[in-house]
Amino acid sequence: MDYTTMNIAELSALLEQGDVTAKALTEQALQKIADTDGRFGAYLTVAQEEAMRQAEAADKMRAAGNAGPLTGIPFAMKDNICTKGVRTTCASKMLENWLPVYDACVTERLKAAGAVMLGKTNMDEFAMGSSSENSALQVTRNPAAPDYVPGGSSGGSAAAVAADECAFAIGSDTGGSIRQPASFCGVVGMKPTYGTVSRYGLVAYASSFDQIGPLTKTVADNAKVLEAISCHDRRDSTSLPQFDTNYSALIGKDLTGMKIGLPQEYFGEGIHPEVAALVRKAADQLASAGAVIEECSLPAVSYALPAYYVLCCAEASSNLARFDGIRYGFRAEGIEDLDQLYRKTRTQGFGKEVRRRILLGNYVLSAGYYDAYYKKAQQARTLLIRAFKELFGKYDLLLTPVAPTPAYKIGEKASDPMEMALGDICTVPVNLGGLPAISVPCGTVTDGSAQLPVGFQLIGPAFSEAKIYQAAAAYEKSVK
Amino acid sequence: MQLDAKTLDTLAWLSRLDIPAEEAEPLSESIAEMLTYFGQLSELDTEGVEPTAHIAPLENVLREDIPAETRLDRDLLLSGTQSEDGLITLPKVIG
Repeated sequence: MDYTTMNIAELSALLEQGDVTAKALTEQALQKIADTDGRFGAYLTVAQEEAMRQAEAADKMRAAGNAGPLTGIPFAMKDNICTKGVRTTCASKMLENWLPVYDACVTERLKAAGAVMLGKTNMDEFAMGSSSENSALQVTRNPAAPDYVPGGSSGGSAAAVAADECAFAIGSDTGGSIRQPASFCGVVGMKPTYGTVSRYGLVAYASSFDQIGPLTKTVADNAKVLEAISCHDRRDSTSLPQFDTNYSALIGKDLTGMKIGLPQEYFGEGIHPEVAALVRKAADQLASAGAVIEECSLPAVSYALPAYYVLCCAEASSNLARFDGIRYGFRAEGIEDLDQLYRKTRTQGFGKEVRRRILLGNYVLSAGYYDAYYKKAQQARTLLIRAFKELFGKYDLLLTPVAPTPAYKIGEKASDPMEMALGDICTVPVNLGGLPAISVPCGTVTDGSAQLPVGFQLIGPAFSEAKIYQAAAAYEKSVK
Repeated sequence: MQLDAKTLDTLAWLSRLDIPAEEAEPLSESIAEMLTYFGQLSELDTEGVEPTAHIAPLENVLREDIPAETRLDRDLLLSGTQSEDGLITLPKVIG
């Protein structure tokens, strides 16, 4: 029997009935990776022995009556999340052989839940990019159409789920890095409310935006994984102290009375007409499931992208200052003085896009430019937060595209960082606002012989994950 | 538009990066393009608007100093570094 195509709920039921063991699931998943990942390149590291040990532990957990919904379920972890003893590279030459000595909070939580980590997934270097092409280590291909990018930066995680090389994956989302690859690969991806999943052990890119979340085959699975990883953690100073983590609570409940706004700014210029049409079709489905759909307006989003890039580059330039050739791995050879040690190490260790963002970040933080760029962007962020707040006074959720286009061909946009950046236009407002948002598959666009998946995005106010999952699950059910 | 060479040099120094000769021109063009794009923000009326540094409604809190086992041990200190006898080794950097 092929278990790799099954979702978490199905696998969990089989495990619970004793029809299969975690060990058997893991062996099959590892075999699947060995058979197919040569084509897709989703994994940077396959942790075979570690996975088998965890699978045996999961079977013991079940035998002892301590199994939960994720016990024995094989998953993949984005390679910017620390895993003790399993290399964590951030897809960078800088950390190519780095072995963390501790687990991230998310890793600890999943281990405690008995989930089985198969390996670590490819990404854009230090999560900077939208196609996974900025990985210094390998190319990842979109399982739906192998000549196309899987999206990014969590492209390996999305591809691993789409290729049935794991039952779920963990990603991180700074400006769309879970939702956009989920949309490109045709899986479900959630970026939760900022502060609800600990960033302890997540290699920092832009700390005021970074948030970890799940990529799954179904909406209900996604809620289950988020329930497992979400918690207060005193080791992350931005982890929120109190919130409800019963994210599955409203799944299956009727949408009657739910008001969903369609901000017109997300459907205008630059949005592929077929993408816009698919999202509008999803709106009709949600309406037929009982939701009230209304057009609305969010003019403040027009400043979201420049504000986001100013702030994330500024934060990145500060966060990546720690890679100095003294700690964390890579060190350049042939050094004559300290300045050279820093500069040669960083120039050789970081890829082009990472160096570009560090330079930009230092520019906007420099004396003389600080007020014009950095402070201005922080003020734009305030205005956007206010605008969202006002809209959420009228609407429960907002429905938008995830990305302006479906996946593009590998190499097509790689040399044009500006064009690549414009692809983040629909996702970054959510990160500026610290809001939760999901990407749910809603059809495909044909490009030559390729069928390219497209997702819609549901955005809610902070802590509205349960409602987002409710609407997303109702949609999913209505199209089955 | 391009960034002038002096600005690019200053930025490179601030970032502790070298700019390889073949990258200087495309890089300065690409940075200038992004800065022009960021310039849109100047159209925004932000008079009296508080800047948002962080989204989480959190404040610094003080707590009791509780002794606990930390992870700042040798393993962590030496993780992924070049070391000898428990000490980080470096090339000679002072003349």
